[in-house]
Amino acid sequence: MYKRVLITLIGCLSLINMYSQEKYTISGTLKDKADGEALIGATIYVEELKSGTVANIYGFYSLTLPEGSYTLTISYLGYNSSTYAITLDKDLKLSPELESSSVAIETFEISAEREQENVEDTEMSTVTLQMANIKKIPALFGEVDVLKTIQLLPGIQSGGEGTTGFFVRGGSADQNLILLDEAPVYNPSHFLGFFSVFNPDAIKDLKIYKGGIPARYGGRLSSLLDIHMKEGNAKKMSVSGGLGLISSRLTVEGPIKKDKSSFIISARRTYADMFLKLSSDTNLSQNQLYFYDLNAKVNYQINENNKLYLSGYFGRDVFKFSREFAMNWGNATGTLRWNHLFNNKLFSNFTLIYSDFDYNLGVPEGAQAFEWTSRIIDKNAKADFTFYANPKNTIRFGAGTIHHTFRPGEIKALGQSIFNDFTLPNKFAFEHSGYISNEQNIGKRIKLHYGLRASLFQNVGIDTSYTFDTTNPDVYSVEDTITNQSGSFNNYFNFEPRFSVRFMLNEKSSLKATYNRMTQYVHQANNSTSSSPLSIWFPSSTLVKPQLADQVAMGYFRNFKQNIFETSLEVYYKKMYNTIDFRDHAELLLNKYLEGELRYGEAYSYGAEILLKKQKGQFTGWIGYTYSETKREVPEINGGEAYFAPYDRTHDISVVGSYDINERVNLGANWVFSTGQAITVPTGRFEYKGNVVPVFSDRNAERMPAFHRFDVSLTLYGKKWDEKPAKKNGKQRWKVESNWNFSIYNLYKRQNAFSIVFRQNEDTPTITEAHMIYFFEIIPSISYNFKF
Amino acid sequence: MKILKYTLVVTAILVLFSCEKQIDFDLNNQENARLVVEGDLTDEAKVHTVELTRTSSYYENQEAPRETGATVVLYDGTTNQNLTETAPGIYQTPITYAGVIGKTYTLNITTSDNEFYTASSALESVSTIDTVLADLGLSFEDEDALILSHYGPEPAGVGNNYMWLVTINGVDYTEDVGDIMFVTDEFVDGNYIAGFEFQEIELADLPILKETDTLNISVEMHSISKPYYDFLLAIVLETEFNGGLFSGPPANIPSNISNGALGFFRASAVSKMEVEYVFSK
Repeated sequence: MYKRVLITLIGCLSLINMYSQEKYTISGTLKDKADGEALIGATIYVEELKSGTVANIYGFYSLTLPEGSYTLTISYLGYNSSTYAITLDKDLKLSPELESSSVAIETFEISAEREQENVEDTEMSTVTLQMANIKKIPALFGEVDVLKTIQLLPGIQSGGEGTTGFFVRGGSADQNLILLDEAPVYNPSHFLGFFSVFNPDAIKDLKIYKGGIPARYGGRLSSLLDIHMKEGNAKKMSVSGGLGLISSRLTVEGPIKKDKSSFIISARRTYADMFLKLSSDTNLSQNQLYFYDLNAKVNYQINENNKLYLSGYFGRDVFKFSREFAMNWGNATGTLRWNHLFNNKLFSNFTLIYSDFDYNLGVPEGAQAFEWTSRIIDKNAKADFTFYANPKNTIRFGAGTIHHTFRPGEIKALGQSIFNDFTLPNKFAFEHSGYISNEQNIGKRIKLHYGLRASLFQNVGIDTSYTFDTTNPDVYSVEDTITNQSGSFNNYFNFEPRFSVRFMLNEKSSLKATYNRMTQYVHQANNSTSSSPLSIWFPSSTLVKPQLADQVAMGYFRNFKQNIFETSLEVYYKKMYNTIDFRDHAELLLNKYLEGELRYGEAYSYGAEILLKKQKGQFTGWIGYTYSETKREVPEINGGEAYFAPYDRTHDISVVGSYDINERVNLGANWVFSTGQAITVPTGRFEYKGNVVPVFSDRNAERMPAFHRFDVSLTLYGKKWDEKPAKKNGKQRWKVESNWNFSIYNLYKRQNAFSIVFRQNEDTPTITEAHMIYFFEIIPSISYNFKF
Repeated sequence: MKILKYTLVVTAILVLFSCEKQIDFDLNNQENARLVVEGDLTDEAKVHTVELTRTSSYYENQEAPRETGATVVLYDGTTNQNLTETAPGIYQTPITYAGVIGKTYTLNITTSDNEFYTASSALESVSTIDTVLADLGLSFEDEDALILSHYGPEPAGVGNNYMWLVTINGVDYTEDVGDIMFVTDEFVDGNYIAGFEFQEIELADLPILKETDTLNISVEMHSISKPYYDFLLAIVLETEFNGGLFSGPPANIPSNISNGALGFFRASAVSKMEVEYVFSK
């Protein structure tokens, strides 16, 4: 099987045509005229060839064409396109800066033919969102949140009201690879999942892959969320920020050396605990409850062919309850990248990545004083190359290795504590990978993107492994203990083929298909659909096989009205192997026999997703609809019968709209609807001591009531500084741009069940009843944002 | 372990936001009246009780149906002791009957419809209580409360599990499983336990304080098996902490009774301590 894939791959590569005609390369970097930010995904279209290329995440592009005269159109959504007539008789550099088109009312002309990227590219099952657009969507407490925004896209489900956990095409939350400037973020949420760690002021854009994940990415089964931080204004110093109900933000950015080097520092902190301090209740006022984020990035253009980027993120949540209990957790990531142009056709990027998530909690004083810590650290080095062979072929290849350190749990007794020190053994592993892929045009209609990724996972270091007797599904006993000496004692090797094809039906519509195999070697022990900060990650091992997924997807893409409307219909089927579930009442924390709590099975998901999107004009927005089914089958759970995943939603609808009434007033609204969550309900009850205890039958066989909600927002922009008259004394006014944002979350006060529990009546213990727990009946909020 | 409780603090914060209301939720009644056993045996010479009931449909809203006319026998490996039905569903030993540390006890039940059920439990030793300290402090919910702390040795070797039962002025404060502290020795193994808070009772729940200044506190520490620990934990998870943000999917409570019956038969050794607390206003 693998051999055949390889042969096909080599066969395809050899298809690369060799022209006899003299050829030259035009390359360059595309940037925003106002602040010098790279324009990721901007398109370069060659009129004469009716084809072109796309700028990579550094804004770099390269096109190799036969000698001749060409008309190039460079365009980017939300920017004025520009057209260049060039004579290509030698290698050329063309690095224009594009000007952002005014967002407000204008008679927009559709000049660029290449604005139908969504139809023409092989990519499907992906969505790119610009931060500027995300900021217009109504948000809970006015906190703009990228993770909640992507939940509004078809194929992506939310874990529950107001939470940032997301589930892609039937995959669990730990099957999403979330990258912030290429560094994995292990816990993307603050405050128990209600806010994401991504400060909107520091983020440039994001792209989510639900399928068709390119060969250069791997390590998670279900999705890739690729988030890019801003690079910092390369033209002038700028300060921006905002005040909201929950948090305040401040960002400083500017050139260090004009057009050579720039920086950005962005900070955010919540102040809920400031209100607690005002409380006259001394117990309450001693409590602490806040989180903060710090993003920083610098870049330095050494010369035309070399550029360095250093970016970092640091964020923490802090809880403290008087003197009794304290807890904090957070991520730290760092990325150092070196872009090097070997020549105008070979682009390379060398990256060093560090990522760390840890939590610690404990009781600082007294007989029961202890400190409990848990941590995961990734160190990653990789090299990626893009070879722009010719307009018909773009070849990417690279290799990388990740060193994982797992410190699942350690308890330290403090002072005169009754506790012993307790340490779960640390685990170490390597994850190596290499890939090659080619994007290839065959004639006018067909474009292929095919690749192969190979991954090797190695458990290394001193480790203790257990084997369990699991003949009785309710309990297990430890049967055997093996202590492994240093060195790699367990290896998993997998090929991961990736394939996408696009077939143009006509100028405005195309059919696409994709297949990808993914493997996942690190897993999260989390038994709920919420993103608990206390969950831990653990590696594959002799007992825990890597999770595998095969996904096929097909889609029809069509644009209308000169690309003002984009529509797509996609269907997918995904099968996952060695997926992990947990035995009943599993103990996942501080358990050295964690692997004994795991139960392995299979899962499948299929569905259809429709997206209708309007990207231009006074009114923008989208309508998304998903029909899907996701089930798991684990021999020891639910009597071996397949059961719905908790995040299975049969129907899911999102309507998102933004309307610019005039240059200074924007109205935003969204409505979401989804089938209720699958839950397990009791069929009977029994009494034990003073408790009436439920008896359950089939897992996730019933549904909570349907979820729906309507949110609105109003943004008022201050007058542009250049429209205001100069002060009377003739001095220039401060160049301040500002806006007020008012929003109402859950306008029609729908009580959406977060969970349904069955419990005894407090007054009459013999009565048992169903209770619904819900959050956020209606939340108005206000925020102020400024930039100067 | 008490550490579990700390992880639940985190969810408690969400109470700030969350609302709860009773709703109507239709359920199918598929429950076919299975036998439920609540059997406790200790090493004390006293009347030991086995209570037999049946499951009912979830919205039954009446006390559990009692299982009458069953034959209930305790077997200690050599001899059988018949239990007498003293009230409907209540089967009791003579007052002289006492379990013996080191023996394994088997409870055999034959119901009137001629179904046979059995369960066994080893009676394991318990460590001693040196003293119990009673003091005023703050409860988990930051209310004024009476806090009871345990002082005593813990034998070396992981695998000892304990629970504490508390009676104050004759009132049982550990009637509900949710009020019982039960622990494993995993994190304290072999240590001298100098001050483990095993019970907190908010002053509001001690009405007797209004009448008298003295509380007669009776504490029993029971040895329990790991399966019973798991059973208690499961009950707490399904009745007190269910529906939380981080709770796992609902699941049935394990049982050590055969033939599909629910509940538990446990054998425990008991250490006792009586302390007085004089309440000064």
